[in-house]
Amino acid sequence: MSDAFTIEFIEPCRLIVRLRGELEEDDVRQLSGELLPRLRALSARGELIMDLLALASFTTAARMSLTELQRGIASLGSRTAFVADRPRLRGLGLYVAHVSDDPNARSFHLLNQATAWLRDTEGRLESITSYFRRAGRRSRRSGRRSSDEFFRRMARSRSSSDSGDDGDSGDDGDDGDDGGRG
Amino acid sequence: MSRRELTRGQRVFVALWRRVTMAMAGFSDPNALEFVRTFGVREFVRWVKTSFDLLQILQERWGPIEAQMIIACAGVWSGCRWCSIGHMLTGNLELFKREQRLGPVDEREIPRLQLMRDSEVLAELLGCYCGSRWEEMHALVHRQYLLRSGQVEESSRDDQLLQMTNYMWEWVNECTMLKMDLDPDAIPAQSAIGKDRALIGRYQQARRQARQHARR
Repeated sequence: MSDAFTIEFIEPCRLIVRLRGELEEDDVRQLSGELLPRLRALSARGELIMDLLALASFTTAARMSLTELQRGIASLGSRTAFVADRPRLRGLGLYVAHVSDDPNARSFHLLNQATAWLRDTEGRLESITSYFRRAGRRSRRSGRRSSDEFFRRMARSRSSSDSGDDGDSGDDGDDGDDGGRG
Repeated sequence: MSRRELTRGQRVFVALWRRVTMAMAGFSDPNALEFVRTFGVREFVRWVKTSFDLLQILQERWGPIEAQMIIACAGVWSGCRWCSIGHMLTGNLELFKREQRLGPVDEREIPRLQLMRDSEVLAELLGCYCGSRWEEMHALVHRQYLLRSGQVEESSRDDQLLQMTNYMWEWVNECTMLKMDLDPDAIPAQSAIGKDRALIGRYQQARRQARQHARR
């Protein structure tokens, strides 16, 4: 077994993969062979933490192999949180999530951010647009400053987008209308 | 999110958008195709509009130099090379034009910073933004990091603007992250200042001298 990773169950449906050292393509291939069967065997939706805190570097081939692995993870409906305390490695997580077309994978600085997101149901981009909506609502309540209009428009446009209307002249994005996403 | 082929209309839009960025900022946007493939035309145009609005608000609040540097720092924390270098260069050019001095963070150093741990990156950025000229920026950089890493909650309108910047650029990093290995020297300034070739020439010469001086 490669010493570049370990896999451990930390809850019945939650696994943590710890990557370390200099990651190469063969390491990822071995990881795929061990990780995907465990995710497939889960009785419910899997939650995966990819802990990159001890990872030092990765080759381009390893990055492409991680993308392939992520496609496999996405096809099983599992959620993935990459945790990294180096910007370059958070970038790796986002790159892998984007290129593999996995909407349910996202990068974080800290483990507690990651676990909170794993418990949720929103995808990566949905989490971001949800923030825009919430920010708009807060402004609406307090709203006196010039930037409030900006936040109000953010809330409006995101709400209309959620309901399938791409125009900017939709409903006011009022409190209680979460577009069905929380 | 699917990696589908673009429609004819989308391809036309990409070509038009590249012309627009060439006319406005002096470069043909290499991310345009991925933006449209990922978000579609309308969602992308909406992001462009709202990001310009946010930039305007940041400029009103902290000025045109700091606004660009705040966006650059959002890119630094995401690990995005395109946004962090492009916006830091823009802020540095604005500073050079207005105050005839070099910015404290050399945009070419950002890839090195992004390999470091967050605590080290933060310490280096805070060390760069020191002295009375950068007192406010020093506090903003620190606060922006704490907000992005979830270590503090938003408690003021300034926090809201910083966190909105973090989120707004995380959204665009979805596509710009594909340029994570791009040669730093190939990343242009992200505003109309990038068309001022004479200014860029003077800036690059001054920056080269500063780098040589730092190496000695």
